[in-house]
Amino acid sequence: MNTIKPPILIIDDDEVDRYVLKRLIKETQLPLNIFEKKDGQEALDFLQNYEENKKEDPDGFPPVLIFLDINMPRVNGIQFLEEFAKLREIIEVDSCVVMMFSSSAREEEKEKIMTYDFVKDYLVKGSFKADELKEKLLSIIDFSLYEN
Amino acid sequence: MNISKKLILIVILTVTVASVTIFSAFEIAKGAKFHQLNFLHLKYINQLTKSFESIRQGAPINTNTIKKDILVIRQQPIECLLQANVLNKFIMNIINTSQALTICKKDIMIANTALESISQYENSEITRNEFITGLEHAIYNFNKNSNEFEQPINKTVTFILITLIPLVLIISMLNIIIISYLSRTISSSIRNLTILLSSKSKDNANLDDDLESNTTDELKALIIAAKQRIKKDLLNLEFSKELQAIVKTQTASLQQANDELAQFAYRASHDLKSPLSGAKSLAQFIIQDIKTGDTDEAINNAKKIHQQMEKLEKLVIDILALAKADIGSEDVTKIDFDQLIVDMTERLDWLIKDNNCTFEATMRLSKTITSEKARFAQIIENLVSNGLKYHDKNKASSYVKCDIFDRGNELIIIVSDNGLGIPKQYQSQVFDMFKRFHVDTSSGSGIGMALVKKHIEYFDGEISLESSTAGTTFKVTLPMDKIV
Repeated sequence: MNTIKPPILIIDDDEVDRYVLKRLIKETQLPLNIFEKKDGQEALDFLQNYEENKKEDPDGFPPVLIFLDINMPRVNGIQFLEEFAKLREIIEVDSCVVMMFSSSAREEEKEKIMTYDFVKDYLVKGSFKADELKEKLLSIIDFSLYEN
Repeated sequence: MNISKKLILIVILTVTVASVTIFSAFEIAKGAKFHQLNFLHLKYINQLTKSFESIRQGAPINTNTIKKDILVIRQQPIECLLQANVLNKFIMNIINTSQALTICKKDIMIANTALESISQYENSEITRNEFITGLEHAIYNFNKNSNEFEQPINKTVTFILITLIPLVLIISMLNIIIISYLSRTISSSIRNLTILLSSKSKDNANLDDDLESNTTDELKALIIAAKQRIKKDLLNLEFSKELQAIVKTQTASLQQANDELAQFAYRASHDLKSPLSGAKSLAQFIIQDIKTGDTDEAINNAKKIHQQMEKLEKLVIDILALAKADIGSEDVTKIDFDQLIVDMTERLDWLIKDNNCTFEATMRLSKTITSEKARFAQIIENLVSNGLKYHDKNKASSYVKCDIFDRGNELIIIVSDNGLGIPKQYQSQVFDMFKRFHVDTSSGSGIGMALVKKHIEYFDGEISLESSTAGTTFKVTLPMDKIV
């Protein structure tokens, strides 16, 4: 059986945080194709290169879900959301939603984040377990679409 | 003449005119009074004449009635003399009518003589016939005098009428002319001043000269007072504006300080929490790994925890240093820069080796620096370790150089590298707290450069940077007199 894994993108500058998230995803045993970017700028470059990436990997691009950290060098999570909102008008990433993934955020930041309708959830680093993550992933990603 | 003097003159003139008018009215009324008195006089003489006629025809003599009649007759000349004042007498003398008053006096004398003859008759000193003859004589003289009185009085009254009425008219006319003139001069001086003040495009010196030459004392005083008042008000206004500006800037800087503090607290707590939550998850994984017998992964994760803890330790040290940077220290010593570099190189040895960099320092100091050593150590170490961290792997050899020297009254520290460089758009944020610009080498706390800036500001110094893909150069300039 030829299964295509739903692609997801983790944007976080902290290697340990990325490792923790990847390991939790592994524990959910959900078949996911994980991409990693180390800050908002890298992620934007990756997404903006839509045509080429799509050609290279038609099923693996664009990601259906982005885990987004807030505090990052260069382009932080908030700035990424602003740019991503603009990007959504140009390229076909409508099916891509965002799940915030940060240890803390200020109230005004949270308010701003939640004004974007493509931001679906807010995960606090270190405060959730694999089964909770699985539940959230299942509610966002329709895995039936990926079964042949 | 100033305005108040002119106004007093107007009042005096008006009062004079009014007085003259009232006086004239009284004088004219007096003429009528004289005529009235003479008319009464004639009436009483007539009354006496009737009594006398009946006595002559043989009626008995009622001395009381006759005495009463004579007393009444005597009353008019007395009143007439009382009415005539000094001015009347003076006028009468001039126009030659003073005989009217002489006539009055004569009449009184005649009356007195008649009254005397009554008493003589009563005392039987004179006979009835003698009495009658005396009385007839008196009546004759009374009538004669009364007739003679009319002419000078008429003349006097006429004179008063023809002199006083034109006099009043002339004085009134003069008064009107003078008052109009005075009020015109007053209003024109006010008008002139108004024109002068509302004229534009004249420099102040000119205006002052014009005011000096064209205005009267009181208006000048008014202008001076107004000028001073306006000046004072302007000063007050300026002063309150200055105060407002001070309050505004102070509020703004307090607000900024407050915002910075809030930002710092948030970022510090966030960055402190981050390695902890990472370590917490990693510890869980180790337990799982041990359970599943995956020792390698467990060891990897334990190493990661160790790294997280080192990161946390560095962060706590940096935050403490930053907190201390605002407070002056008593710990002032002679700084041995050679030793400082040696100690630092030992601490950064792992970074130099890991990144395959070379580090060299040169020192050219003409005098010994005595200051807070810790601040210098932190400035130099942060700049050097940044250079080492952000080295460019793609360059054949990486280096960081540190140059410390004094020039004139300045101590200069230059740290340069051939590393990655700081992209132009981030150069303005280099000294902001918790800012990092490189994703692959994110081992920094984001505090180092903020700390450097704080120390330099503490010494009233300056830091500048030049950066390109060829590398970065930081130049620190510290005034010698502020170092200690």
